[in-house]
Amino acid sequence: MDLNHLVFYYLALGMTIPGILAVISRNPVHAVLWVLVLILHQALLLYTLGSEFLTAIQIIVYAGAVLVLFLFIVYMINLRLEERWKVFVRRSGIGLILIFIFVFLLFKTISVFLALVPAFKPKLPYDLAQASNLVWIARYLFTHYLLQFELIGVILLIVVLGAVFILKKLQEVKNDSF
Amino acid sequence: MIPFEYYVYLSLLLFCIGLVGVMLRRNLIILLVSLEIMMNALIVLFSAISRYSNDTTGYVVVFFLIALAAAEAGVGLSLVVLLYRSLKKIYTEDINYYRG
Amino acid sequence: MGAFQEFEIVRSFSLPVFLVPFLPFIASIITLIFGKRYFPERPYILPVSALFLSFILSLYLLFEVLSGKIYQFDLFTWISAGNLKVGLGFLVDPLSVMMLCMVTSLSFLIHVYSIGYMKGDPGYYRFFAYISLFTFFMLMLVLSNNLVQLYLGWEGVGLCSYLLIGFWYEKKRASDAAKKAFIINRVGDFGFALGIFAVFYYLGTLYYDEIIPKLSVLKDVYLGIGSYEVHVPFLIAFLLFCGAMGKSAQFPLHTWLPDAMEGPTPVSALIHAATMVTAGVFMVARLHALFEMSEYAMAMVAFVGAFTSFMAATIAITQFDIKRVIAYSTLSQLGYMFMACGVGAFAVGMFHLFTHAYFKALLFLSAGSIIHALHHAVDPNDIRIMGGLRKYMPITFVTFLIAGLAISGVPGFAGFFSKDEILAHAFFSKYPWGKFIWLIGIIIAVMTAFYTFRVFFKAFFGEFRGREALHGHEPHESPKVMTIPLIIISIGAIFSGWLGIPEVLGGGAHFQKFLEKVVGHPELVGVDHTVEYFLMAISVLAGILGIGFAYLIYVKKPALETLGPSKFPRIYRFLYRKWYFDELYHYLFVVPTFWLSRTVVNLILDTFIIDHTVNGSARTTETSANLLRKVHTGLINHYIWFILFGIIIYLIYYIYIR
Repeated sequence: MDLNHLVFYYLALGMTIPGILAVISRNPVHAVLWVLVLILHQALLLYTLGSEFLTAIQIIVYAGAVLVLFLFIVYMINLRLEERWKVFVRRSGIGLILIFIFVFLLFKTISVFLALVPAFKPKLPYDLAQASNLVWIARYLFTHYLLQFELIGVILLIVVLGAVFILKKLQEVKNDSF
Repeated sequence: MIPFEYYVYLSLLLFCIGLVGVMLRRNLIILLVSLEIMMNALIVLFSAISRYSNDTTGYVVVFFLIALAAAEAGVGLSLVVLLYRSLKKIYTEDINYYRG
Repeated sequence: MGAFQEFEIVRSFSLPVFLVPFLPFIASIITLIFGKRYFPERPYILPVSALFLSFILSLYLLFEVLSGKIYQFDLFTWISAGNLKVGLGFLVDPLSVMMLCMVTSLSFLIHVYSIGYMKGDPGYYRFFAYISLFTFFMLMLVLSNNLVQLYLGWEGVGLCSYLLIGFWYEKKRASDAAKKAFIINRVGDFGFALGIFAVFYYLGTLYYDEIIPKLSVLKDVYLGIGSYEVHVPFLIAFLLFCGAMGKSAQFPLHTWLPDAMEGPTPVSALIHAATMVTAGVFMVARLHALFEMSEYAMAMVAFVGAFTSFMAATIAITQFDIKRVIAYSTLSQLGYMFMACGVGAFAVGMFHLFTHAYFKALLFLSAGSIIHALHHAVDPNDIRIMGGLRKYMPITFVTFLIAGLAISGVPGFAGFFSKDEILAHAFFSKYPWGKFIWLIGIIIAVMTAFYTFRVFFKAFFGEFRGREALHGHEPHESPKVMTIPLIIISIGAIFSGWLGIPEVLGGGAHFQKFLEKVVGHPELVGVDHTVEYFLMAISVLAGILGIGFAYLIYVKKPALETLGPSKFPRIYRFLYRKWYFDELYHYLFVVPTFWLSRTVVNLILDTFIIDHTVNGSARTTETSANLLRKVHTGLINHYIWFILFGIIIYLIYYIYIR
């Protein structure tokens, strides 16, 4: 058990426990905040995996944008406590059984998946000590995955337009005293 | 170095936590939060694969995943707001127009 | 390509080449989406300015090619499967840059013309969106560096042609004509697609610069079909030529083009005279090495061209619809181009394509100007209600005259040089059918001049006959936005031929020399100049003869006009009904199909099999739906459960059963 392992265990705990707490919390605000904790830990995990760029992106996009959006919506809707906590507990039996079966089966198949990993052929070998892998990500993004990169831009644009359009249309409906 | 399996198990655990949320919770916002947790499980898995197979492609996929997660959250939340404004409800069991 | 040695080949991305087709595309998409809402009054701004920029860029590319550069690069890999690799790429060489300049210049001018012609139409924005989309596809076709992209452009222009013929879709005749054009083109395109497959099967590549050097492999390859041995180059050439027959409206797939005149006149000028229908000739010239490998293929091209040309010219003499006459004349001139290709003079064929684009577009646009002036009439296309328009529309009169002189091959005008070159090359061709083609060509030249000037004299001379039809409206000259493009194109119709004045007349034949590096050009070596002068005199005489006949019949002695129909009623009716091709196809294909569908399908299949199946399936659906609706709770969470359930079943299958 060296330091690497210690750090990994800490981060793993720091991700799973807030995850569980987020899923079972009654208050949506708390859920969002627990996910924030999860995401910060995950950013650190990405750093230990050698990708500072993704760490930054994770914090900026997830913590900075997505979760703030969630919090904003939660406050806007102003629904603090979930009254139907009991429903959640009562009906969970079949779902939990299904999930257990699923996990069990996944563990069965995971050995197949693990056997595949050493066979992954690196396309461009890189040495983490030599240069930041940001260089490699950029090289891939702007050459091999350029089309996909542009498509992501288009998708984000469509999302912005769609969100605006949906909410604008609603206003029009309201104005017609629907 | 930490064995690769650990990352896979961690990712699986996170995915199942998210799955439990999506399957059992009735609050639309928590549903979306759970989806984000599932997405994060994928991020962990892909970056681990990328690290252990010495190939940058996984990181690029993570980049795309984060961008897509942002898009998904945007659309999902705008739909939630739409539902709330027109129906004043955000619980899935109240929104069952399509019941057979 | 071997002949490109003196060129410097640029293989990296070049922005001007990319922008030439994509500017009209962007303009078209924006106009199509936002045109109706945001600028319904002036939707032409974007397409016209995009086309103008494209035109400037193509001129720039022309100078680049003239200075010895060739662009050949892939934008990205489009399809990659096994050893099939197709990119979206561009090839700018003398052949394509010449088409580029022609397409962009004419398209630009016709866009400007349409501003006036289409004004007030409810589909104003739609028209501009479609026509610039058409320009995009045409440019993609011209610029392609592989056969699949050529096919993309080929189908794209077909689509736009369909949309534009049926532009006034509320008229039944227009939508029928659009469908006819589309369906007949399918027949040809089927062959074309098979041809592309055959090229890939035998040569393993679809890029022009790899096809051409590999062709010698096919020299002695035969394919056994039944008990016949078919020479593979002939087979491929035949299949590809099927596509050319459809698109360039050659016999037997020619019947769609005259009907396509239901579309707006600028469309007829741009698509059905100048650019799209010449795609077939362009394709044949592009793959000339393939056609030259087989004597049969060359003979097929030459005779199909000659027959179509002759047939169309005879039909054009009898028609009364001004646009149909010009449409048949287009058919006839396209046949001329194929005749040139069929005797091995590809560069000359392309030269005729180039000059023809200008004078035929001019002819169409002048006719459009007349139609615009008479648009109050029920059928403004009918030349019987015209007459004496010289007084009312002087500018149109002059431009129509220029176009008519050019198409008749009067010395000095564009048509003279190209037509004369075709005839000379046919006469001195190394192929045995050259002399015959020459003879047919002369006969067609007489008829061409005759029918063109028949329309001209009927429309512009004599007394105005359309007073009743116009309900008291006077015909008027078109607005400036239409006449100025007419004047500019008429400059093209005069001077475009001067680019390729043959050596015998003291010119340098620059045009043919320019294309020679790509399509080859047979030199007229050891030919006596006196013979050439003699041939030239004959072809000029043929044109003058036609004009003279027309003048005699339609101006001097109008009584002669009814002489032909009354003396030979049977022949006249035969020609007037277009050689009965429409009727023939009707009885050969349409009637049997209807019969089959009415009796077999309707009576037997429908009542017995389908009805019972439908009723039975409805009942099955009802019972199963009643069962399944219990599962359908409408709860999002439960859908996730079902997905998970599916995954679990798959995993169980994967782990335990498989």
